[in-house]
Amino acid sequence: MKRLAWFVAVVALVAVALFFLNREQIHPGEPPAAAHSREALPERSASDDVPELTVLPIAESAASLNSSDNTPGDDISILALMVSDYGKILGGNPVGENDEITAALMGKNPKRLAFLPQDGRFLDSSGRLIDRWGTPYFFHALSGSKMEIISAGVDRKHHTEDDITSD
Amino acid sequence: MKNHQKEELRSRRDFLRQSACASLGVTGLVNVLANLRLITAASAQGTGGGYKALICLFQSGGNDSNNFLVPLDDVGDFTLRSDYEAARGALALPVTDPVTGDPVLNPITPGSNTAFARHFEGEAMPLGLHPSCGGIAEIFGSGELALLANVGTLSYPVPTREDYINKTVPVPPQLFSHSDQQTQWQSSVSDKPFTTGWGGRAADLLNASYNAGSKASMSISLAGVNSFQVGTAGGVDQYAVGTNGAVSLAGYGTNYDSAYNDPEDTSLGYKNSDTGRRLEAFEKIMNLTHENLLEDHYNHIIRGARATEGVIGAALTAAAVGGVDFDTHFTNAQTKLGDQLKMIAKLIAGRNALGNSRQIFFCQIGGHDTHASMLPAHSNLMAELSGALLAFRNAMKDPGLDVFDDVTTFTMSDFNRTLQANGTDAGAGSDHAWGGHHLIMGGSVNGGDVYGHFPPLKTGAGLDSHNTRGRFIPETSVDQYAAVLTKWMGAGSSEIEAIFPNLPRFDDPFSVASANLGFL
Repeated sequence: MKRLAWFVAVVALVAVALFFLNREQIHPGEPPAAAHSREALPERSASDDVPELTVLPIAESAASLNSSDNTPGDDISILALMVSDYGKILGGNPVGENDEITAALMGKNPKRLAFLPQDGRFLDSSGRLIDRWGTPYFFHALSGSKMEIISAGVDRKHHTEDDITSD
Repeated sequence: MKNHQKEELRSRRDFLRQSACASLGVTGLVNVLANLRLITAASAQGTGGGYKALICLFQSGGNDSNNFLVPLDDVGDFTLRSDYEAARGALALPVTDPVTGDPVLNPITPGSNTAFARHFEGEAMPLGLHPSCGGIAEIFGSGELALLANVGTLSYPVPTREDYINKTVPVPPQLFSHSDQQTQWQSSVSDKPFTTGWGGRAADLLNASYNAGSKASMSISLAGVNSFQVGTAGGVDQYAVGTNGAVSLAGYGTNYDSAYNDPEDTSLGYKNSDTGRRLEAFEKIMNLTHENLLEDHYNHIIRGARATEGVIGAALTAAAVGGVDFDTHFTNAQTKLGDQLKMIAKLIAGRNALGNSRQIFFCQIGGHDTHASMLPAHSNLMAELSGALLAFRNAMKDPGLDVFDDVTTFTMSDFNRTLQANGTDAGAGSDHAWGGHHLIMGGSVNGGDVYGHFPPLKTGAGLDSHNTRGRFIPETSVDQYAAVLTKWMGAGSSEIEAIFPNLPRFDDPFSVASANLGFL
């Protein structure tokens, strides 16, 4: 009886081993099912807490945007400087559409630094940076540190001959 | 059963790799790859599994794939076509010609409804390909081409648009910037500064296993130096060729006949001329060794390139006498992309001269940054893509070559473009967006189907990461897409882990059926 029990146990062990070996051979090279459970998101740290808004000195230069003291090229140069400063301080240019870039420049960024004042004649009702003719600028992200800023010019249509582009 | 499914057999090599990899512990990606490369080389059992080539076709500038794969109609409550037309406005492609009533788009019939399970309750949504993509539609219909919907760069899965807007999930840095997104697609490691491309990392590991008799680089580019094929130090160096073959040093005549006494037998020395002496001096300088690693590696690259020139020439000679009429196959694809794929076809035909059982090619088509006048520009791009792919497919299937089962071509691009047009007239274009649609072509592809998850096209809702523009959050990551391609090339699970360190953040493309990534 004892011998029979040993025999049954050995057969069962071999069967289990064969089952797992065969399963590996059916899908060679593949990880077993659910080979990885999804890696969790990194936990937020205390440093992720939102700090107070700090308005930087460069925001004062926004006062001259779209004024008769400036040329359209001057306006673009001021914006380009703000974007460049943002990139240097935040580790990369602001990203996205005009409204998202404007919000980032106004302080919606991890360090809560405002490169632009919270209101002014350079904004439209949708929170977008506009040129002196009232047309939203087009921001063309070439890289994390190079952004073309384009005014539609007098005709108020982008991608036409009178567009004014940052260097 | 597809050929690639038959040939996979568990080997001693796999066992060695997997056991050794488990012991590597947590080290940097580069160290893991370097160690794994040594282990792979030590455990290699010679070349196995026949020949395989992977071709990366990069659509530079951000392809507007919203007009590549287009909804044809609404179905019940699913207003996919209406949403497409509402957002696209002037950029919407009509289903039928308004004058003749003839179909404009190329309808396709996916083999399953799996791509519509997540957002359309499994209802089959009628889709068509761009009017200029008749060739691609034909290949799709023959089951040799698959489409992958809404794939893009991700650091982690972004389950909802609120997660993006509220920044509760880390996203890749510099989304929507050309060079950053090109680099991230080509590295797959979107949340780290670039060090290597996934094609380069794959080549480093596969080369050790499969290319014992290699006479030329496993990584060949038809579009110059690229990020995709950058490997780890000491690994496979990418080699750039032109559409006419190897790029020789300039100023020494055809095949160096102004410098050598006999270009076919360089042992006969240099000509007694300024040109001959200049080449002799240059080659002596290139054969010097340097203590400075950068200088030494520079010379190593030049020496390798010079040596490879002859091998490429031999491959092209072999291709020319192999009985395949490449000029006829590419008659209707005499374009920049067609010329690149034609050269790749010739190098595949002459592959025995290169001595590689695994090969990764890179080619590129530019001009996709269609901010203005998108419709005519995109039509030309789609025609060039479709014509070149059809010609390449036919060349690969030519009885004189017959390697289509062993060659897989796939597309990548910076990003998709905004579904919402940026204007209302004929000059309208589209701007930088995120997840887009791609294609995978080859005899081993489980073609005739759409993979991933086709997105709802509502703006300011669903997957739109913006409030109006239709900038869709990808639901398949580059890591998942690339891992499936790399596994087909012969990479085992431990190699996949090393090549794609962020892959565990996403659903396993091989075992999670709902990922819907069984295109190979």
